Formats: sequence, structure tokens, C-alpha cells
Amino acid sequence: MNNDEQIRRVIVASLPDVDDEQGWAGVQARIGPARRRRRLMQSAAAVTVGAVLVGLGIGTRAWLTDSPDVAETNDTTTTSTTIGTATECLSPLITDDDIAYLERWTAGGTSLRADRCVLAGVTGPEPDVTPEGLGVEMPLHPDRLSDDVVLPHSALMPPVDYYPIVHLGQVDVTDTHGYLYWVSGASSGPVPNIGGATGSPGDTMATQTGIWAVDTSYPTITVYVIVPAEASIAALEMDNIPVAWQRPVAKAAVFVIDETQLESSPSRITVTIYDQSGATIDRYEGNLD
Amino acid sequence: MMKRPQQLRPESVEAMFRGHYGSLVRSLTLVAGDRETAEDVVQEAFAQAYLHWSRISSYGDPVGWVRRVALNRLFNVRRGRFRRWRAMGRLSSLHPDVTDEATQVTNRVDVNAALEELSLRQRTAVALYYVEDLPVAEIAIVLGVSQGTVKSQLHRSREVLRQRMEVRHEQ
Repeated sequence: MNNDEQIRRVIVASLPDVDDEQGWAGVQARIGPARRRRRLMQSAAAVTVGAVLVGLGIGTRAWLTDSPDVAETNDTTTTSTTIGTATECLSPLITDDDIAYLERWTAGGTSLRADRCVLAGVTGPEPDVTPEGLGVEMPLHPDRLSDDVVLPHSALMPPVDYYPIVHLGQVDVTDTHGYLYWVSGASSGPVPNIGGATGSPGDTMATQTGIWAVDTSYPTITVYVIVPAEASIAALEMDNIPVAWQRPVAKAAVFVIDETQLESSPSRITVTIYDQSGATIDRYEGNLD
Repeated sequence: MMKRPQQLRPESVEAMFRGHYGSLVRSLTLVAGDRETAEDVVQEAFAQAYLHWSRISSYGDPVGWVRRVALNRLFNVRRGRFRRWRAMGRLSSLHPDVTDEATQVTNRVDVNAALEELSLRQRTAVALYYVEDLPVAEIAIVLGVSQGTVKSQLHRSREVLRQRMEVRHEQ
């Protein structure tokens, strides 16, 4: 067992034969039910979206009222950390115990504060890569729960198996190079210059608030949001269904949707920025197809 | 922005299926520990590709999309069963309908026993590298980790596999 080729031969020899015809029949058998499921989901979404949106608005106001530390976290010098949703934390790297913990945490039905547990301690534009690399396994624990993200329970407990995996990140507007950088669960990089907005050293973002960019490059849909200092929350909807919302820390937020996780391809994305009174500051709606 | 290598796009889901289904199932069998689960997630991924072909066909790597969807589904399935699966040591009963040649059976048991010692991510890296012949860079994209992490995972996996095989040969 001295080289790659020997290992490959042994592994391949251990694998089963595969019947293509049987497999194709299996695929076809799944298409009909999947179509019906999709139609049902769309119908259910149409019925529930109104109530959900009303709830989202009310919830935003109520949550803001209960969150006196909003202003404290609105700090442009905060070092970026990686933040994720409960959905993301339900990754294969998270243990059963963690899932049980999450379930207990969400059982209260109010909100969840979850830390993706990756890339803690980022000190600049380059992630602090551990020996295991990004995505290193770390158990979820209350001590590591972040104050940076608060998600409504409704965003975490979807009525159907529809919601995409959403990574939430932050934009560090004060990195040493003066460029905008974002850090998320699996990757990081400069905020792209899309839609006419430009980031340059010394930008404070004060005059460039709004939806900075929406990038639909496979395999992710990434939405960069720059919010004014007085704003407090950004909400993301896919096909009019609320997916996630984020209280910004560094005046900016990044939503990254892993398209490979989608049950069905969304055709429309909406991002809304609210101020601390719950009033809409900016709203972006765009088609994804 | 992430740049994916441009690949030839299949003209239809069926063409993509004919070209990659077997490889994907074999690869994910290595990860899942049983062929039925692998077939299930791969077929479901192809069904999703069929439903959204107008969009997915425009991607640079539709096969990569199917692989990612299947792997993610597999991870979801495996999450709840992984510990139990390890404890039960089901590996020796895998692939009941594989050709029953003595050497294959021996190899299978040894490989599965060795794979049992690897983490889910390590097995995935091994499957993508040795079964699907994906380059390290692409495996890194699939797993969402750095290339260095993939190399590290493959290195550790090789060590485990070598040790296991050498023990067998010594016996």
C-alpha cells in the first residue's frame, strides 16, 4: 500500500455495481411527487405570506423594544466574526447533542442566538484559519452564542421544507487595507463592486447605505447590505417568504444563500432595511432568473 | 467572486444522468456506508435538477450542483445516524449484491473497516478524490474548506488506509 494508485484500486474494487436503468426509473418516480409538493408549497406560501409579513413587522418592533443593546453593537470597529443561523449550525459537523440543545433553545418560540462557531477571532481581511481550516468542528455552547444575530423563531421553523441555508456574515469596513471585506462560514473576500457602488479606503458607508450588491454567482446568492448608523435590522425574503433577518454590528450585513441547499429555485429576492422604529429605510426586490 | 472551471454542459438531465449517475452513487456509497442511501440522495438530486433544469443548465458545472445537493442531503441523513452507525459496525454487511468474488469481499471488508475510522468529511474527501477523480481544488469547493484542509484530510485518510491494509497483509 505504497501509493495513491494502489489505494484507489482497492477502494474502487470495494464499490458496488450501479444499475443506471433502475436509477433513472427512480429519478422519474420522484419527479411527479416533487412537482406536486412544490405546487402545494407555493399555494401554502401564498396563503401564509401575508400573515408572516405582518408578524415580521410586529415582531421587529417588539424585538427592538426588548433589545436595548442595539446601539452598543452598532460599532464599525468591531472585528468581523462569523455568524450563522440555526439552520447552518445543523451542519454535519454539529453533533446530536448540539441539535438537541438547539431544539431546546428554540422551543421557547421567541428567538435564537446562534454562533456558527467558525472563524472566531478574525483579525483582518485574512481569516484566522485553524489547522482544520474553515468549517472546523466546534460544539455549540451557550458561551459562544453570539449577541450579533437574533433570528425570529418563525425564520427558523419553516412550515415546509423550503428555506435555504443562510449564512450571515458581517462586513468589516475598517480592515487594514481600507477595503470592504466580508467573512462568512466558508469563505471571505472583498465586497464586489456591483450596481454602481464602490468601496474605497476611508469609506464610512454613511452616504452609501442600502443594498450594496446582489451577486448570484453559482453556487451562492450573496446579498451585501450597508445600513446607516441609525438602522438596526435587515430582513431577507426569498419568493416573498421571510428567510432571515440580522441586526447589523458593523453597519453592514451579508446574507449568503447556498443554492445547492434549495429545494426549489427561488425566482425573487427581497431585502428590506428597517430603522430602529421599524420603518422601512430601503428595499430591494430583484429577480433571480 | 468564485470562478468555476468551465465544463461541457450536458444537453439534458438524462444525458447528465447517464454520464455521472454511477460514479456519484459509488462515490456517495463510500461516504454513506450503504448503497441504498447513496442511490436515494443521488436520485433525489437528479430529480431536483430535472425540475429546475432551465436554470441549472446555465450553471458552469451542473454536475457539481447535483453532487452538492446529493452530498448535502446525505449529510442531513447521516447526521442523525452517524454515531449509531459507527457503533453498530454495519460496514461488514454493505453492498450485498456486489459480485461475490473472494478478493472483492476481502477488500471491501478491509476498506470499510478502515473507512469506519475516518470522519464523515474525511470519507467525503476520499470518495471525491479516489472515486470521482476530482482535483483537490474542486473538492475544497464542494466541502467549503481550504485546499490545505483537503490535503490534510486526504493525508490522514491515507495513513489510516495504509495502516489497515498493511495489518491485513501482515496477517
